[in-house]
Amino acid sequence: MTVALDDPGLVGRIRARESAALEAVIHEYLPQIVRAARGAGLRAEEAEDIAHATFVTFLEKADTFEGRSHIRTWLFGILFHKIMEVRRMIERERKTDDIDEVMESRFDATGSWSRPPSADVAVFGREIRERTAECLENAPPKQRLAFVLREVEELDTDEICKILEVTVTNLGVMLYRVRNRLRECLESKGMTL
Amino acid sequence: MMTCKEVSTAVASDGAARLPWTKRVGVRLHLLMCRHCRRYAAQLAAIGSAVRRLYRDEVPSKSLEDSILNSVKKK
Repeated sequence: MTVALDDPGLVGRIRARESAALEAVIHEYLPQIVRAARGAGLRAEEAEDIAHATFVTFLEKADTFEGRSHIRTWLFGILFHKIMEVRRMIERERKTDDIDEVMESRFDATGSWSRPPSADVAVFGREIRERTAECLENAPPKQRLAFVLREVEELDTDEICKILEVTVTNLGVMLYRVRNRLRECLESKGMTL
Repeated sequence: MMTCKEVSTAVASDGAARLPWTKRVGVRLHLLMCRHCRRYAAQLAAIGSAVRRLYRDEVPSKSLEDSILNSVKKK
């Protein structure tokens, strides 16, 4: 029996532990869940364990799922909470962050660049990928997760806000910080073409 | 006229889409005229695609899929 992921009856079939429905959901979303966990900074093994736990919780809670949001949103939400437990992520984005000061120092009083972005930052090739991975290490897990949900999974703002339980403004602050942190870090490593 | 600081903040926070249309036009005009901000925006886009490439090849093992399936079926 085939299973369509947009089937409105899918939640019911999952609750009934119907094999084909379970297989379809796991097959579709497991790669995304593992990728997001890796993106948030978990090691490969940790990411697989947490993905496993995410699906177990998903099934345990399937009876309370009202189907008002997308299954994917719900899965990512469970994953987020599990990563928070492991990494003791701070619940709220901090009021200040080192990167804010760095960015302040790049503009003059009129809001023009006093230190414009270096012309040498170019993000190509394997070496740059490795440097990017190193630079990501310095970002807090929640910012990283916001960033990978946006850039790798290409989810829209509303869905990411639901998953991370933040406001649109708060998500904007997180993305601003993680992107600038990465850019500053790559620039300081002298990434050139 | 929007400042470089306002434009770069809008770009980095994905905020441009939520601005009123006059400001959205302001961001576009500014990017057309300012090479520093254009470079900044291009760098952020390039960093996004580097991260996409970094994680795109992360594929879970088939055994993980099976073991999850096993543990959820049993319960």
